[in-house]
Amino acid sequence: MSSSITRITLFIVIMLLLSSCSDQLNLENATTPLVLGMDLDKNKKFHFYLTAPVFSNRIKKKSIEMTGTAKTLRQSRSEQDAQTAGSTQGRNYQVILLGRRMLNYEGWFQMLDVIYRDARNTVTDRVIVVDGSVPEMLYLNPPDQPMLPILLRGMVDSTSSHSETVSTTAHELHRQFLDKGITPYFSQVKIIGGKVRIQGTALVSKAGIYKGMLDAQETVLLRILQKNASPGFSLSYQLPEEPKKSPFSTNTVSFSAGKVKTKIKTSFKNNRFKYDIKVSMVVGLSEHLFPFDVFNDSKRLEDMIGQQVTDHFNALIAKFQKLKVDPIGLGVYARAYEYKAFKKVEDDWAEVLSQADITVSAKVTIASMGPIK
Amino acid sequence: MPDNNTEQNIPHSDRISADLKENLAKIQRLFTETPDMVTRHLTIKQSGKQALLIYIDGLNDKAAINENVLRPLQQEMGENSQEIAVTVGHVEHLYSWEKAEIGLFQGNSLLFIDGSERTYSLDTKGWPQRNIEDPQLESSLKGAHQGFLETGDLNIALIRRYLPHRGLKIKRLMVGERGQTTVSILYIEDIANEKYMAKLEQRIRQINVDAIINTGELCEFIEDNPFSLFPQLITTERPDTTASQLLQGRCAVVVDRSPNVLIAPVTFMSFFQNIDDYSSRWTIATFLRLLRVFAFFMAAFLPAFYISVVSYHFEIIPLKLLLTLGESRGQVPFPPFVEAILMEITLELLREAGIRLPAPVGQTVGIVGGIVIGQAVVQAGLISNAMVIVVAFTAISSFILPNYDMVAAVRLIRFILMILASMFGFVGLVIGLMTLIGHILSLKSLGTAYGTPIGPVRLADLKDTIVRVPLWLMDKRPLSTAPKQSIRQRQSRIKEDTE
Repeated sequence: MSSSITRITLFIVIMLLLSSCSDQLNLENATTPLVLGMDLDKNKKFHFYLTAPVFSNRIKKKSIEMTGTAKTLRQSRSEQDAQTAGSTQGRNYQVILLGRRMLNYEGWFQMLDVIYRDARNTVTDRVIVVDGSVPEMLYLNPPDQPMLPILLRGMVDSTSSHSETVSTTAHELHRQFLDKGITPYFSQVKIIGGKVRIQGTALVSKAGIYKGMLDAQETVLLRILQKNASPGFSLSYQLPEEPKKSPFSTNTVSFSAGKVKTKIKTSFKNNRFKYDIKVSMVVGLSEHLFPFDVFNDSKRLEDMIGQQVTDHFNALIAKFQKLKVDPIGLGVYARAYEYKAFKKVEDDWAEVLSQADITVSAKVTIASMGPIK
Repeated sequence: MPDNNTEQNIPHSDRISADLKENLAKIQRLFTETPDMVTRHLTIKQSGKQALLIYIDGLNDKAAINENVLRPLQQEMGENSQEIAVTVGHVEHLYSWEKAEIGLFQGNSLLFIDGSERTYSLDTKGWPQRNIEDPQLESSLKGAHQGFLETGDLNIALIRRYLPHRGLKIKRLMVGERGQTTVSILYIEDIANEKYMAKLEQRIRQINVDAIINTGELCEFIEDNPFSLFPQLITTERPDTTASQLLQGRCAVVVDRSPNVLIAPVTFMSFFQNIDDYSSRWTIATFLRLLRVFAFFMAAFLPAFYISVVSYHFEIIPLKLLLTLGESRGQVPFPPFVEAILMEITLELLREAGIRLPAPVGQTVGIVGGIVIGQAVVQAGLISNAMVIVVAFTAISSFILPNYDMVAAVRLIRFILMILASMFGFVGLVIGLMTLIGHILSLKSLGTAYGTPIGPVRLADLKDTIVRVPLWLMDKRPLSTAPKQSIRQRQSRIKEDTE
């Protein structure tokens, strides 16, 4: 028994020796870029940008930036290696930055092919679009902020954890491009006053053309419709029924929702898709700047808030239909419930959806009003 | 008085003569250059016969010889009977020189009487002996503070204190041509399975050497797989552990002159048990068991894991850790494997240095090691901070394991895994883990599976393996020892509602 195990072990070790340790690459010998940036310059020439940390105590600046032009990302590899001491590895990308200018042209998604095809590359990096130019952001290096990859990744993760933006990984982006029932979306950042800021969520068409942007509140609503809103998000509305003392918006009510239920009913009638979306939220009031007897009169406040939320939902849907995008993934519902009808129009889904009949109604229940009257 | 050797079987040359002068001549011929042998001529007052008392100086209790042998023989009057008037506890009649010689060197004194063709072997044993002390390697917080000594009979007595029952049987064997070591196999007759007994006895009888100096030597002769890194028998210096193991249906081997007692058969998981587990509350005992299993894996795998992560798979390191690790690795001139080997060897050096040095000097080793390794090496940029942390963590983990032999095995396994990790990364690590598990499962301890109760699975035995359930729930003895009588206890706790 034991001798047979010895033999098997020997065999395995010998087999392994065939592959030898050629694969070995020590951490300090590798250059591990954490940001992959892509952009077009004014002459529509493709540029790549990388930021890699520098592991040394003697060098003050903690990161090294690389840039160059190439036809494709893989071809840029030799250009990358030429600029650093170590061998460049795509294993630790934290974020992929896309220049806003690139998104004016179809086909940028195909440029990312190597990220997916070479299994060495990570696909958990966040995709972010930069409203502006990528090199500007990369060379910003503000002294009072952490390294760009840590900053961007941290910003996207924390804001998306309270649903105010989306955290789209490269892997998720692949799905969004290939699934015919949904259009891609990812977070958008911009340099404002020398600081990096999250702007919201960028919406692109199936072909990858930039269509528009959602702000923080709209993103929350989008994620509610996606049934993807993490509990604890916060919404604020101004109620026109309540008095306002300028310059303060004292007619504002803010609440955070605990339990959110979204029901989407899909049907196909008269050659049109029809969606009936019902959202019900159990909320806790976090502020209302106007006097209101919530304890005895909560029904009225619930109705007022519900009306506001419904209006905003419908405005959002109208925006989607106008931009001809479907970040909610209503096409997925159509495929599930009305397969035959969807199958005929799937290649032209965004167009069809803009003609669809979508109604949203929201119901709000106040569960807590805070410890003061 | 026992007349336990028949005269017929003894060859003439070996037979003790009735003539005292002839015997004396023989003694002088046999024991040349033996200055520590004392020869004392005396006249027995009772019978008026000439007699000769010989003993080895230092192996005897002088007071006992004076008070209980010489004084009665020379002063007692009484009737002229066949019995001699000594007052020692045990007197044996011997007819052969060979037997007499063995007795003499074991500390008995021999009394030859003129006209009697036998010698009286008087039990006056008493050699230098240390006091009973706390066991050194297996000290315990709540258990007894008595460790075994270098005298086999006393060790058996210490065990008997826990098991005062005639069911505790002892089989005595002599091992070694010159050393003549008494090896006693202890077992509880109605619990222990006799196949282990037979196997143990057979293996011990097979040993044909000069002498067995220590239990460890005996271990090496009777182990199932001497080429394995893992110990397959437990040696303990605790009587309470031994008693507990005997009650679980195992056998104990007491080797005279060795303060360690051997337990067989054992399983891999036995090495994670400690007598304190049973005297602490079961919740903390369970936690400690889990901690030890965790520590085993840490001690064996952590440096290897570190090497493979840093040399192959750094994409799995979280971003912030990557930056810290990279910074600490960046200044180190060696590849991770060399760095790890250097540190591990330093650790082993320190450990060995600490063992043999006397306590006051031992502290210096700690200081030098602490400063040199902890500080200077990192500040000089030779070794990364991360590696120092890994090695320190490994060392602490290995100190948690309660059995020294198992710790030694883990130390070696660690090096093998480090080599595998440096060559193949995680693939090597996984191969190492699989081989390790396969090896443990294939091992035998006295013919029983070493890997039970995990492989082959014995569900009932799992109660006292990685967890320790409350004592009153362990109503059966471990199945792995195949006990003759498996019920350990019945309803030992009053249930509140039946009260």
